[in-house]
Amino acid sequence: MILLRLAIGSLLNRWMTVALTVFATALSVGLFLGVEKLRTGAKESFANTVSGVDLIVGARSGSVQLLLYSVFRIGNATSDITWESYQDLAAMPEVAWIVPLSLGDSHRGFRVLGTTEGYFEHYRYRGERSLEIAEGQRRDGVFDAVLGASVAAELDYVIGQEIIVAHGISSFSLHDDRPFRVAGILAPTGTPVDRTVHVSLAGIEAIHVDWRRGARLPGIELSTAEVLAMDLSPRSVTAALVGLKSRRQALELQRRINTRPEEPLLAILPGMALQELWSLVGVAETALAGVSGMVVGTALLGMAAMILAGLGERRREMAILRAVGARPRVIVAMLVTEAAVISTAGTVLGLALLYAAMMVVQPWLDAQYGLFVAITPPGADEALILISIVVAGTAVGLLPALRAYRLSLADGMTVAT
Amino acid sequence: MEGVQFTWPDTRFSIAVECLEIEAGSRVLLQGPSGSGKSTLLSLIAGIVAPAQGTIRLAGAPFSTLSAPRRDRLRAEHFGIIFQMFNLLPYASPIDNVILPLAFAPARAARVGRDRRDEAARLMRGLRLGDDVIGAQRASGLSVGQQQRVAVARALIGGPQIVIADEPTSALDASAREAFLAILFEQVAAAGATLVMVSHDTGLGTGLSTGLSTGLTTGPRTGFGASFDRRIALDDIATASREGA
Repeated sequence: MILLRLAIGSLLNRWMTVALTVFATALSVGLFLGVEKLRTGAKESFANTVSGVDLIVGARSGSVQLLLYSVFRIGNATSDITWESYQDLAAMPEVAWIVPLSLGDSHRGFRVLGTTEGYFEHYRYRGERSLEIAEGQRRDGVFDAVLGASVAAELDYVIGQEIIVAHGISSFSLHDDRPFRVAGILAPTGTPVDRTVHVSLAGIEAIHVDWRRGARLPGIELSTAEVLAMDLSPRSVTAALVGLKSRRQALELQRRINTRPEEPLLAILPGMALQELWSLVGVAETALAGVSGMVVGTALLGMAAMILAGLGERRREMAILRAVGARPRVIVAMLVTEAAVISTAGTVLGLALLYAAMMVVQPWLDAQYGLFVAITPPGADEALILISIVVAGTAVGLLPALRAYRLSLADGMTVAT
Repeated sequence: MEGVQFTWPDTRFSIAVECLEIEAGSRVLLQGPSGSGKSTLLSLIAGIVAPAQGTIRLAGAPFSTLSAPRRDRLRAEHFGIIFQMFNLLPYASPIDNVILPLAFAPARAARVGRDRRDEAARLMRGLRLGDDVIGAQRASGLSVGQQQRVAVARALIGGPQIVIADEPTSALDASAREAFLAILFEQVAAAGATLVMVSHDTGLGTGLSTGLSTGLTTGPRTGFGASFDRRIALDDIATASREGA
């Protein structure tokens, strides 16, 4: 007990150096775990975004690109699918359901998605969870909009409020002649759905009837009533989510769609596209984990250097302990314990800093990138990392401890002070 | 101690002791100039280091030939050591400094019993230390004289048989030195311990004739010297040398 009190007293006696070392260790641990959390969080967030979709079909491009813009609202499509092709897909006997996605417009930084009621029926996330309306109702009319939870929260929108859609993603051209009305607000999902304004396909068509190539046609002014009287069937959609009657048909149907002669299309299996995405970012992921691992290693070596540097001043302390009967191995144990205490304190503080940072950064990540990193207690893998860091820190403490051992044997009662 | 030879591995400083015998319960002053090997001799006596040649016996039993852990254990149980200065762990309380040896000496701890802190306080009061020192949170705030007295309490706690003092008065002025030695002798006598003290201060041995390792002192006894049973000039019993010097 007294030895523990003395070890703590010795640490407190050098509190400034010890505090800086603990802080450096904490930052490195926080960084390392932060990268790990972000990595696993991003993977989980991506994997949980959409489920139950067997194929995603878009214009021919890259499978990762199609996945990113259709599901995660990242990037843009290079081309659309004609409505005829969409209808052909819908008519295929293997198809149980199909949901069109029309992307391209925005509202105050949030993507606007034109789709059908089927989206609300068939979209699933985190397994079998379906979209739920928190306020209002789904949609009734052509100009009704359903907001994702983050859109409503950040813009402070309420049911019945009018919103104006901008043409394109970052355009100042507004479809201000045909505003939408907020009909419903979705419950939070932790997916890009939260950051999406959902409108009808007809609504998207309606705001574009008098637009060509990104600009309003001059000299044409149509009233809303006139527009609603028109055929608002879309000419094209950006992509389609497809559910099959049997999942076993997915590969065969994918091949058929990809070799379809009428229009160059691309069908992807979401899971495989995600794997492709992970393999693409895998190198960067490994490099990042490597760098943050090295930061931890550097911090632990810094701790060993701090203890080593302090040994000169502490030779009298060692001599006193030896004189009262402490064996050299007690001196070793004291210094190893010191290293263990510092690395444990650094690890615990690092964990606390990480969670504090996550609480601050999580809404920003969600808002900025639609990336939902769940704040959950450390899992088995993270616990293993934390234990490994403490063990490594303790092992590194053997360096100064063995030096102290040698000094304590060499000093006897003759100690340079 | 017989035919002892020892060399520090780092500094190559060597000491050879032909014969030295210290009687139980006696008070011995070992004197010699700086660099004559006084602290090395104490390290050997306390078993912190072991000689390359020769033997050291403790109460008639072999000591230097024991394993290092056993010597450490015997040192913890039977020795109380006082350094010249920087005697205490500055971050620990005076009480914790005093009871520190008990962590390594079960028999001493058993003699003290469960009320270690009370015993430490009793010893400290006996050394004329006030409650302000006894209750202090850190030893670093004490004066040098107070620190030396706390060190004496640490050396005496649990009743060790041998008290070794390595130049304990070198950091004290003349009046503080006198007071400190008076208390040291009083407490060592009360504990019935053997006192082995080294000093380069020739004034300490005033009034005491030099006694060889085997003989008892017979000279006149005045001043501090009167408090010692024997004064041993290190040059008379040991040869110190440094390799290459």
